[in-house]
Amino acid sequence: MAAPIISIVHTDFSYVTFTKQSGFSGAWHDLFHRQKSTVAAIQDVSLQVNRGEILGLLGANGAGKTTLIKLMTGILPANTGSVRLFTDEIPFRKRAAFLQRIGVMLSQKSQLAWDLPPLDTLVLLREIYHIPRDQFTSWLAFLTKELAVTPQLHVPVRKLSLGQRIKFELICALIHRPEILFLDEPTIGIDVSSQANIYRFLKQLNHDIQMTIILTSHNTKDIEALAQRVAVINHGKKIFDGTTTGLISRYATVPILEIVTDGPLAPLPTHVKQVDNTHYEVNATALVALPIDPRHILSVNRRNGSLDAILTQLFSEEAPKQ
Amino acid sequence: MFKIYRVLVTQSLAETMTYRVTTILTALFGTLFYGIDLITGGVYFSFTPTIYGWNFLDYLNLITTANIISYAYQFLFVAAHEDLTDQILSGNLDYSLLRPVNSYWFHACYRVDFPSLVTLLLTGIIEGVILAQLHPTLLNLLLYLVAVIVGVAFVFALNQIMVTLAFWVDGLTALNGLPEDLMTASAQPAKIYPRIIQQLFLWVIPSLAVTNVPAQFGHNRPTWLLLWTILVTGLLLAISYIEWQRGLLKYVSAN
Amino acid sequence: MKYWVTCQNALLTTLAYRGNLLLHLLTTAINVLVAIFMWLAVYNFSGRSNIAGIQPNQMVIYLIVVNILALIFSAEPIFKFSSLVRSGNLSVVLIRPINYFIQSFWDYFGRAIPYLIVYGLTTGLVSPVFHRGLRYGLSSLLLMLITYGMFFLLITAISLCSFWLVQVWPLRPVLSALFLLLGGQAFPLQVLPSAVSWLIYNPFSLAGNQLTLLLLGKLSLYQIAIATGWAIIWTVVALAILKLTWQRGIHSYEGVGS
Repeated sequence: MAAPIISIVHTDFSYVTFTKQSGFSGAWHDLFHRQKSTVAAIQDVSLQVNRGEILGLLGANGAGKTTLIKLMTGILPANTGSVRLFTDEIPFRKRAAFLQRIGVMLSQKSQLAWDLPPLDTLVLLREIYHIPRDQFTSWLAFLTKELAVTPQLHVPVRKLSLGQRIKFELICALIHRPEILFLDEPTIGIDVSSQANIYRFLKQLNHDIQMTIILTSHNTKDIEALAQRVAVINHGKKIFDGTTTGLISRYATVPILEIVTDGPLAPLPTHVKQVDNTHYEVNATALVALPIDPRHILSVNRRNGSLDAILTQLFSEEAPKQ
Repeated sequence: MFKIYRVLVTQSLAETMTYRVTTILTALFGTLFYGIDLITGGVYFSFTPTIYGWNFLDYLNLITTANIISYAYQFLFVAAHEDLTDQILSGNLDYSLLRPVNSYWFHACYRVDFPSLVTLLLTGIIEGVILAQLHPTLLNLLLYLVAVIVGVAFVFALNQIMVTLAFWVDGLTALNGLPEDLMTASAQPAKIYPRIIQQLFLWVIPSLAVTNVPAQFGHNRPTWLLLWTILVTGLLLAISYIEWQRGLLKYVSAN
Repeated sequence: MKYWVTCQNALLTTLAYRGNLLLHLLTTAINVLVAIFMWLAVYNFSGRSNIAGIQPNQMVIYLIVVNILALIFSAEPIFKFSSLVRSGNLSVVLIRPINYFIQSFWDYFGRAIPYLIVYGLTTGLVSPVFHRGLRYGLSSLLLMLITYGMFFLLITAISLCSFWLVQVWPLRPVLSALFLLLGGQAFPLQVLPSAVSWLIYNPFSLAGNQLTLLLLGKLSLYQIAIATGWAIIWTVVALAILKLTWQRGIHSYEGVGS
């Protein structure tokens, strides 16, 4: 098997914060004796990504997903361990040749010039990445067509909808045909049809040109739609690495079924617990068939069976004491 | 790099066109305040033909040159510096770290301010007329131009240093007007100031030298002070460059 | 008493942004110093000890005081009113049981208190104004008060253009240029040829130049009377503009707002 395109080995990253004291005397005190505290954002994370993979990084807010992206893209330097991309690039060195090969889209940061049409920003990127004109034109035409934003290419960014803006941010990240695409919360705040459009397009890119895609999200729909593999980051540590179904089967240990019926069940069957008139819970650990007449069932859900439920449970756990 | 700059200039022009009225008004006000400077100068010299050896024409040469330096800085860099302050304060520099370009020069040249070009051209033409009256030798004229360029670089470096301070202290943006105040105060003959102020602003922070030196070349009074301003300006540029690198490190670690 | 709160808040606002206040003062101080050194050089090289009736040390005071007056006579109400119109908050203000203009006046006054104190102290301590008998003192005081009210009304009258203009920021440089040239901030208007001596009765000059000369004791009782007369005329003009445009402005505002 070929060497991984991204290789993170026992990497740590921590940063220093200063706690501010309130009031004037606090501010005065802070001026001379600031309370430093070290926050371990990433702890002993190892991760390998192969060329052509789509990897989802899952985690709650502040879990360390974005920090991990920043380590991989070279915005941040690793404290210990090593982060290598391609054959032997250290991202933080920011060699031009390395930067040419990665594309990054960060949520809540924009590279589009507000008062100008997206095309202007893209032309600037064309010069920055030394993209030949004809290649730029045809690739851009392809990207805008696929994302259904061709007519908006000449509209000032301030007049675009959020969904259109996000799509253009994505195009900015893709314009130089990077080999690895990093997406930090790519679909935050945009409507369902734009989301579906973006998912479909990213899958196509991944399939057609073997683009490696790393995305973070706390929207499990993003991950389920795209990722072949997920890594779950919690409190700076990697707690899971595998497929989404693997994740579900690992954590959905107790098979509790939530059942909605068209009316009250009387008498109450064994193994069934009533929640209210039409909601019931069944512990299916020792059952081979449902003890409820299927004609009265409106829906059955396995609690802990959805990615959302598992993640909610995982992320609500306390940080391990250090 | 030149191609990127051309794109940036084109974009600035496009933005200027979006705010046409603002552009015209800004150019108009620039001219207005330059006009007030001229009238005030006229008032001073209505009472005496010379002040410390500067006659009215020399004085016009001085304030016009000082204005050229200011407007050239504004045209080339002020919009970029305003943008940079915003970017630093809003923490929007991540993309700059991800692009294969020199981020210092990219941000310093990010935008040009076309309204200032109008006033720059106007003061440039007036200075041309003044120089035609002053008859500097070819060498002095050449050194005049060099001195003006050094002046622009000096003002740029001062502002760059102030703007980049935003990486460390976010309440300091109000101080960004300080270099402008300094240059306004320096648009006068150095000798009107007490000796200590002269020494300070000719040698330590040579803002007076930066305006007085080119003016002196303009009326054929060459001075070695030019070399000193070149040296200090080079030093300030180097400092601002190091400050930028440090600032970026601080930026990523504070994220 | 409700206006007293407005005044207090305005003062506190000025003090709260003390960083900006200090910086603003620094900019002003630099400009004053430049002008002082230049004028001292002019006295020195012209060999004159008196220019337009002003001696070198008086010129120093003139430049300091006229710049303080420029801070007192700010154009802030224009921008405040404009933002009220733009945000639509004017409707809210108008249904309050207070008179907007009176409130705005106390706001104007409150903001300028630090500068007014400096002007007041200078007048009380340095100036001969209150050592020339009761009649002179009272007339001087009257001129100060009327000029202050006149300038506020004039700025308020100008602020009404916010009803029709989307952008009022260009008024800021225009008004500061007017104060520089016509207000006697760049140089005393008395140095100009006598053919344009009528310029000193423009409202900016009354606020800047005349009040400074008054402080220096350069105005005779007769000149004070003339200046007061002009201040009253400008007050009437401002009131007339206010009266005429307010109703129209409100109409066009409500037309847009509803």
